[in-house]
Amino acid sequence: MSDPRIPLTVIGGYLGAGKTTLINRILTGDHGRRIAVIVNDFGDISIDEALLAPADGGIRALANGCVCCTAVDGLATALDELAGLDPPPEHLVIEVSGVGDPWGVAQWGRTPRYELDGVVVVVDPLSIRTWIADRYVGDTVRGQIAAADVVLLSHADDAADACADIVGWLSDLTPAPVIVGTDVSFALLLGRDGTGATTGGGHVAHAASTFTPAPTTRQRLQEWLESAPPEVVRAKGFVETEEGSLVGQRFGHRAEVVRATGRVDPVMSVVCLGAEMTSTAEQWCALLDAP
Amino acid sequence: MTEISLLRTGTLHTIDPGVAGETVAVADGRILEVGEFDALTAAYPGAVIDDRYADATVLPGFVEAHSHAMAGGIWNHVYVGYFDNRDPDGKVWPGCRTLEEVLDRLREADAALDDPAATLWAWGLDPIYFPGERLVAEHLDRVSEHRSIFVIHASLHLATVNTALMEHAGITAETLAEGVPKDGAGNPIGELQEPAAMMLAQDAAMGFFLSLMSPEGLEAFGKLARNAGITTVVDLGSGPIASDSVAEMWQQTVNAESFPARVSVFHNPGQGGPANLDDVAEMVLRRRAQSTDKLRFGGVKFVLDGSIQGFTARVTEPYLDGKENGLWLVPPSQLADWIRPVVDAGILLHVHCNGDEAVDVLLDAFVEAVGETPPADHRTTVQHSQLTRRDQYERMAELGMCANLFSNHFWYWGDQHADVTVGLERANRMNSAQTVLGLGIPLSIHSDASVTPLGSLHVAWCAANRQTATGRVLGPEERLDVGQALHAITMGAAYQLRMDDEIGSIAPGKRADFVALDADPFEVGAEGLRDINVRGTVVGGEHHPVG
Repeated sequence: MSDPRIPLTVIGGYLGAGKTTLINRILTGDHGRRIAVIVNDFGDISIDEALLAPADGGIRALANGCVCCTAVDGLATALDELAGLDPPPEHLVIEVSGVGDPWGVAQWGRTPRYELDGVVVVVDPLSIRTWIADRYVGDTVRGQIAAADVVLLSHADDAADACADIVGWLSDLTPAPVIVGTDVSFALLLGRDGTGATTGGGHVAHAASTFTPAPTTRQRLQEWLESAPPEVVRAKGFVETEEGSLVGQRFGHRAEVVRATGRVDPVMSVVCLGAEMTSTAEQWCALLDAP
Repeated sequence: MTEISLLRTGTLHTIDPGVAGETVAVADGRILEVGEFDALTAAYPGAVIDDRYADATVLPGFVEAHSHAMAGGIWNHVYVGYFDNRDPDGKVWPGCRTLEEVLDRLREADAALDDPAATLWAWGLDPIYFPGERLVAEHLDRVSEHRSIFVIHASLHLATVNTALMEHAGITAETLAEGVPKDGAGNPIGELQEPAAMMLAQDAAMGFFLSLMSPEGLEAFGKLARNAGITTVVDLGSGPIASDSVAEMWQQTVNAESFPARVSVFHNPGQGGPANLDDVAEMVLRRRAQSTDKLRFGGVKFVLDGSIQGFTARVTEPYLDGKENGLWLVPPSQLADWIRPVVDAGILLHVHCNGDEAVDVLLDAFVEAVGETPPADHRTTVQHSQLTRRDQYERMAELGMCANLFSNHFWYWGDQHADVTVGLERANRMNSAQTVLGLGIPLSIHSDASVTPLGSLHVAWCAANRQTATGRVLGPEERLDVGQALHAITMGAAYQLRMDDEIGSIAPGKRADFVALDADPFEVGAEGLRDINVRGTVVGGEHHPVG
């Protein structure tokens, strides 16, 4: 039985970071999923709506406004409508405004019909130092990076040196892993689909593993998720405990455990950066593996 | 033949130095002539003499250039704010000065609800007046353990709810969303911060927000305007007029003869409609063509930053509590691209800038968009402009911009600004109206209703006294005199709405829009402005008595 809630991925980053390119890749990508996209931005929308099949839940453009003006015509309504579609989208991606707070938007993934999958912040290695030092938006951009579960560097192909240069610098701003390139696989970006199959390609190498976790406790599950080695970008699964089925999830540096809706067969999927699972990652998985 | 009526007044202030008299001749909803009663009766034999305000002071109807229509609809719900407030039917609701008074107000409302399953909504709670205290679910549970209670704060960004509501909505210790503070035992205390957390209480939160815009709410907005002596009122971007159904709601309500005010409805792209500025300009021009004598479309509003009392305005110096800065609602580097299509299309632009850093960004973007020599008579207006510095006003003067100041802040938050948000030095030069006038910048002053109550005389009182709720006077050198304050709430606002050729003063050819007062503002002086009662308004020659 799959979770009836719709996974939410929030994509943030300042203007020109490469968010739209990433969204367009998701829209055209071979991931086999009905994905709805909300662009919570204004004045700079360059997504080709024709890219999206009508059945996919559609693209909605929402201006970035204050709650006192937009609560009715804003995200609340859009999320309500999307969840009410038959069938509902299998994944929702929200592109946050260039000055928006991705973590604030991510909280919609904790409302009843949704579950927060991850906060991805896209960074342009060529302009990020300028924006961070900008007297007007430096604090905003810093806040966006701090809110990331995972940081993706754009321009990996044409600015490889700049990317290499910026990775260490970014780690002072965020505990999130910094991945060079936005051309990551959908398994890494959006997780696996309901069947557990890895979907969609991408040039950033990844490896995946699925196993059946042994019964444990909530606390041990939380500790296990938090102790993941750095190459593990994503772990998600259902685990049996004395209090019933729990969902354990780690994306980037953020780990959390919530109660599953109903009883679910135990299974845990792990996605790592790199061509194959490292021995550290294998050993880490073994800590939760059924004997 | 057209009927001519002679409105005879006790005292007439025309707000036009070239026009004097005590009687106004009106025909076809417009002013024919102003003069002495005897001269006009001789000039217009057979005219109907209207002497209902022969003992009143009459001015041009007040013009409110920054308010929101939800100020009407919000009265569907129980008022629990700190200051006295008057509802659309004229009933005064005393301010709730303690949390216990908030609960008493809610108990009365609970008892008055017949349906035991109905949600009880309340509005106006501002925790800034209760330092060291916090309204939580436990308090609300003393009002009802069964009925859902949803108390939205004055900021509209937070709500406090009771345990019954949390149980119904499934808000528990397990709830992960941020903005759901928990107690020592890990249980939610009943506060829901920011939209996502508020929407955990989806039925109650959507119920509240959806109730704000309705034909009945617009009717209530009109009544509030009339009661305040306002004959032209703005909805500064809260009804998304890109939507035909919203535009039709405005048309059906305001164009009706009984509606007691003209309304200028601005479009705020931050709340829906077309997603790029060229399309926004096209849509607004299309709506502008649907304007009538009473209902005006055609203005655009941008919001750059948040509020000072919410610590979200963009400022160049940190807040007193150490918070470095507020938030942007428009990317600064994108603003010029927002401005250009609007100003190029000849559309009137008003921009919300509470903090001085927001004004810096606006001025730079404006020059980037239209050049150092902007189009003639563009009247781009900085809305709120609360912390704008003198050097910024000098640039605004050069660029031909207008300023609409949020003078009501002195009374409602003046003490908090001096002590809690930005400190005494900045509080003293907030809303610096004399600086604006001294530089020749067109000035208006406003309420931002529902943030503070719709009431031009109260706004004028604030600008003329700069007095806080505890009696402090902030920046006395910036106080307006009575004449300046009255100009700001009539011609000053009309100018910023580009309606000064037809409203804002009493002169031949202008629309017959008046307010009748029970006292002469110049007689009672600055201190007494807010105590003057409004007897009624006249809109296009049609009388709208108060009460």
